[in-house]
Amino acid sequence: MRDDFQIWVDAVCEQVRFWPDRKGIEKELRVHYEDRCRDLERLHYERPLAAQRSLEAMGNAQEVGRALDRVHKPWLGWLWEVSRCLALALTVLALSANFLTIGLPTLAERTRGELAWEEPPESASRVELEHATIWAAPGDLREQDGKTVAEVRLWIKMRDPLAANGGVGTLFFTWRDDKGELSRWEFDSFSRTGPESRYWTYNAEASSTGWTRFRQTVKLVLDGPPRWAEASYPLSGGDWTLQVKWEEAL
Amino acid sequence: MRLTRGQQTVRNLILCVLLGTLSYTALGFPPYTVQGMLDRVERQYLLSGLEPLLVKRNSLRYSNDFFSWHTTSVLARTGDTYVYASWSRHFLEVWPEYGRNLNMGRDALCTAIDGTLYVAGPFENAASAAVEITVERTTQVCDPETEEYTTALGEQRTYSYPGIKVNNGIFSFRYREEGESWLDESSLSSTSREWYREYLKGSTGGGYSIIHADLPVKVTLYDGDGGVLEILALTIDNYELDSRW
Repeated sequence: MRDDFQIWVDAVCEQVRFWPDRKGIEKELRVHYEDRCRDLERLHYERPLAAQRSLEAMGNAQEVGRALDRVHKPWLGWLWEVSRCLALALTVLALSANFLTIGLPTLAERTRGELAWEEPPESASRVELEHATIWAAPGDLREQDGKTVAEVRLWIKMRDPLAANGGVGTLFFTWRDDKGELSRWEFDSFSRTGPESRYWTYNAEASSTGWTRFRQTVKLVLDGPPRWAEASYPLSGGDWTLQVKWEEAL
Repeated sequence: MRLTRGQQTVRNLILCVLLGTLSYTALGFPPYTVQGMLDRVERQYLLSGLEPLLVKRNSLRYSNDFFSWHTTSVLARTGDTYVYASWSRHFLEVWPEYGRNLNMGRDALCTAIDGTLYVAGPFENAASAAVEITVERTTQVCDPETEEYTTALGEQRTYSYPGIKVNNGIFSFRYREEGESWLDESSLSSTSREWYREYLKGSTGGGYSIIHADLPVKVTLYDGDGGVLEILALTIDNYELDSRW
């Protein structure tokens, strides 16, 4: 059977709309009530009388309840609860995400790549695309195994961060030099070989991948030194070319 | 100092924004919508204005896995360029299935998704279509000593399928029926897999691997009166035809 205080405190808590706080409110009111009872008992009040006077001093249950409801605003209470749960869930997610797809080492590597950006030379040719700006400039020109290797350096600056692991997909570019179009080096599963000359491929060692800034070096393997080379990208739907010229032939 | 409930809420929300940003970054900015996926393809492959022509979704849940595996395949176009991209999602992780080489082509493109061949192109004037896919028994033998390969070609078989016009940019050709067995050796799925083998010379175990090959795909477009409008010569990788996604 509920005692008088329990009836009073239940009436108070009914006024509080944010129900998760009701237990705490009841606990706190009970502490106040018990303190008051003990004070009166120290003044030699009998327990029933002390309880009765203490309860009277607690005030009108409806008024106390309404006052507490104003303090314990439901919208703030729920927002607080949601923010706590969300913060906890996101902490778990953030910790586990580092062990999932990208992870901290890759984040660090990409950030290093972003910071290692060097501005392209003034002489580099440039094209503005919807998502990026690309610059191209001639790189090393050297003899290797009886072929000429001409490097083309590319700088790609994206307008938004690009999180794709492979970086910018320039593999659909078309490369040509003054003697005609080059093929992309691909391993033929039938002949088990690739082209021996007049092809282009990447020099992965000279590439860096950031979040918005990427550098790539394309190797053109040719029969002789080129005067110029140019990239285009017919599949992009745009009519543009990036041309690089070598000042000195080998 | 004890914070008020309002202050705690503000602190928690700021923490949520930071943790959410960290998680989203650590997950690799995963795209969860088709538009997000196409935006990613556009940025990575320096394209613009990709519009989806066809979206196919598949889900699979293993009994020992709490979360399902979802695959979203999208055929899209921009101008006369067609792109096929596929993405997998497991809980919050999303990753592209096209790997390094996106399937991209000009004027027309074909791809296979879970037993159906889809051909994308400008098909406004085509009322119907048929496709022929030719497989050729190809056996490669590798000599491990000389690292030389010999290739022997054999029987050819052509499979024909009628097309269904999905929209003005897509025809679909169903080449595998529901419940078709892996053991059905005459099906296109089987021959595109089993007819392309590589053996090691001198090996007695009978083991082999399956080589990649571009199979010729001939698409004939018809007008409303049944006259031939155009014949497209395309190719498809044999691995795609055997894919179960």
